[in-house]
Order: sequence, then C-alpha cells, then structure tokens
Amino acid sequence: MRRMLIVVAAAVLAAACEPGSSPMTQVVTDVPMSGTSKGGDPFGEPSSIWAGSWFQPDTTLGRSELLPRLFVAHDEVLVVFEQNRGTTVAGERYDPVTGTATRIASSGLEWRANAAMVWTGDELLVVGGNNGPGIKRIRAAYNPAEDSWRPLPDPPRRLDA
Amino acid sequence: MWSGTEMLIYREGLAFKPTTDEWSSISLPPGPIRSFEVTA
Repeated sequence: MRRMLIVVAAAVLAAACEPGSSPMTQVVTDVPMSGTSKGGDPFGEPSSIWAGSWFQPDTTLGRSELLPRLFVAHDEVLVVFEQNRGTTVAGERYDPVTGTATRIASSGLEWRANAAMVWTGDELLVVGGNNGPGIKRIRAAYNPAEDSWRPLPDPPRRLDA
Repeated sequence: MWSGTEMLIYREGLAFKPTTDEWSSISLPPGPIRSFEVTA
C-alpha cells in the first residue's frame, strides 16, 4: 500500500510540474519498505522512506496543470487534466513498472473545473464541472481497456455544476 | 464518490449506475452530511 501511495505521489508531481523546471519535478520511486521510525514524520512512516532515489517520470502531457486528477486504474495511474489550459480534457496512462506514459484517446470534452470523477474498476466517469456560464455540461466515460470514450445518458435534470 | 455500484454526486443529488446507464435521485438530509445510506 505504501508503495502504491508513493507511485501516486510520483504521478501527481509528474503531472503538476513542467519537466525539468525545478528540482521539485523529481519524485520518489523505489524506496525501502522497512525501517525504523525515528520521529519527525507526521505520518509515522519509517524514516528510511525518504532514503530512495529520485527520477523524472515519463509524461506525454508535458505542461503544468493546476490540479491534475489521478486514479489508480488496474496496474496503471490514470492522469487527467480537466482544465488543460482552457482546451479539452486530456489524460495519460502511466505504467509504474515500465516507467512509460501513454496518451489516452482524445476526449473531445471542453475543459472544466471540479467535474465529478470516479474510477469504477472498468471506466473513469466524468460528470459535470463548470467552465463558465452558458457552456455545455459534460458526462462521459473513459474505458482504458479499449482506449475509448463513450457518452453517458442525460441525467433526469440539468447538472448545475 | 464511488459507492461500489454507483457514482454518487452529492452536490447534484444524483446517482449514476454505469452497468445499466441509469440515473437516479438521492435525497440528502438537511445540514452537514455525516453519514449516508444508499437504498435500492
């Protein structure tokens, strides 16, 4: 579990930072899973967790995103840029075993903020969010097994956010 | 959030079940939410 959290943290940093822009773009990768807690860690983790090496993970997105959305999807991390600098919702799949990132199919969805997103175990559902008054709402599902998006049916009433 | 079978969108009062592509309404109690029960 700890290793998975570290992988997710790595993907957060990779997605949130411009590659090579600062030392903060480097992330923890393979760290010891045992060690002796010596205090000073607010989460009570062994101090040796910080003794691992750092590297710059692969990314296809390559631009900063204020708040990338991350989901553990099977053996990969799904990274979604919902705002994507005012273009369309974009994302990639990061494989922590091979260290490679693969851009997912184009969503065709207008950028937005604060969309509701969940990973179902098969699909990533993206619903609602907002990007200003008068701009259409969205609802779609991404299936990584097929690398495809599908529209979802209309909700019983208008989504307000 | 994901309930295990449905996507619950509290701010909209809606739930979506991806296996059937069906939406349903959910009722929320007044005031802060401390617990929430989903019924069929």
